[in-house]
Amino acid sequence: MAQEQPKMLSADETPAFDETLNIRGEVCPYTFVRSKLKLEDMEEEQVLRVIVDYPPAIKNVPQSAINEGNEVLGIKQIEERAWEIYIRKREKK
Amino acid sequence: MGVKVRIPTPLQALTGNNAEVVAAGGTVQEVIDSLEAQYSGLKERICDEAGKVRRFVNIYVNEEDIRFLQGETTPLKDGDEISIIPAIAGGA
Amino acid sequence: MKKLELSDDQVKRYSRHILLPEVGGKGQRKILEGRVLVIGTGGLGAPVSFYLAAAGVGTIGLVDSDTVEVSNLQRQIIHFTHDIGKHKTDSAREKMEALNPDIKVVVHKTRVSSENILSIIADYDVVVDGSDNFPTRYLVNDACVLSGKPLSHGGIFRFDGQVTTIVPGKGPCYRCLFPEPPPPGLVPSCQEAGILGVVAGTIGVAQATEVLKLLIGIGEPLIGRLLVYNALEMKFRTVKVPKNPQCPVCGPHPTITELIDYEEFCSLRS
Repeated sequence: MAQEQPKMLSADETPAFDETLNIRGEVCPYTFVRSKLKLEDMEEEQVLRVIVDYPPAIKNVPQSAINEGNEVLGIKQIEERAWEIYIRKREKK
Repeated sequence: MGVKVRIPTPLQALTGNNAEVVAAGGTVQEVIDSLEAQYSGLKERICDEAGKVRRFVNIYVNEEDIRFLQGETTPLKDGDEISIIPAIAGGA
Repeated sequence: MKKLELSDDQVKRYSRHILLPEVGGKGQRKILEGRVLVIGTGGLGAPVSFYLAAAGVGTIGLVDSDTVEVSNLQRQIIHFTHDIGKHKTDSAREKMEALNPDIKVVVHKTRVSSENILSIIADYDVVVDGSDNFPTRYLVNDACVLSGKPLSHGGIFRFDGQVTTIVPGKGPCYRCLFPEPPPPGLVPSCQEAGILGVVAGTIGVAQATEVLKLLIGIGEPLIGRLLVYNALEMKFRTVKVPKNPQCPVCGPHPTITELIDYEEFCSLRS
């Protein structure tokens, strides 16, 4: 599924979300492994907020999420070294 | 007409260690007889006394088992490949 | 049934499975809940049980009555030199538990027979035939057909291998492929034939692959197909295996309704 580069959200943009996964301290590929496991437990169309502090994850997690058919709503920097990634669950058809 | 015949390892001692030989014939039966003429002793390993293919050996024309085609009378066309595949039991 | 939660260790251990879109956490849970019986802990059984242990198959049963001999070690990679003389099931269990503490290994120190096979296979979801003789192979096929258990069949001989997957009710069985075992002496099945050790690995790993596909429910198992391998040519081919309407065990009018102990062909055992 083609999707352009996930959008960077400004400080006051917060998409509605259903679940949060805080995986500060986790590195790739486990950042996506954990995000994927969490998404498997959620309903289609629900939004997951993933909090990471491992810089490569802000590229890798959205990319892998998109590859599996999900939609990435955006990435927001919340601290100097922490980000939120918003993923809407979509089942790959 | 010539067809390629794939010989299984246990029978390669009879074909001079060749895994693939060429035989003539318009049916599977004719090919078996042509093989026997070239490599004496091969037929009795494949067929029983009545000339029927043994029940633990299969003959395939391309991917198809001749038991589910026309058996020994299955017609062949140019370019067909015949495989003789016996049951093997090893595993230890 | 309560959903199995993956521990932190399991998330890391199985991360390369979970990352696969076709597997994911769901597929890994199915593997962890899977129960697989491996008949024979030799050339085929060694790679099958080792890889299934690594994959995290929750319960793995091992059936073997033999002890480890030095001549096994050229191919039976689950047994080590210091295991010589040890019961094969114990030797294999030690390695599997060392590899993966998640799994449970159940040992059956026996040879399968018409008397015991149905009760042994009853506890498992999938059966793997890694035996080394025709009587056992037909017995295992018939028992799996009669009890509706999926079966991975593998056979090796010198440089050759064969693999097929039998799912009773869905595809053909081993007797559809080869209706009867050969009489003693016609087809060598014993150790004097020789085997290139790695061929056991190639075929065993193909069987383990089929087992994982069956447990997860993905891909196209070798149902109705026979995979034929030759190591010298390094060629894999598949031929079609139709369901035989006259099959004596899985056809609509079966003539085999009880298990048969065929006569042993070969006095030498490996």
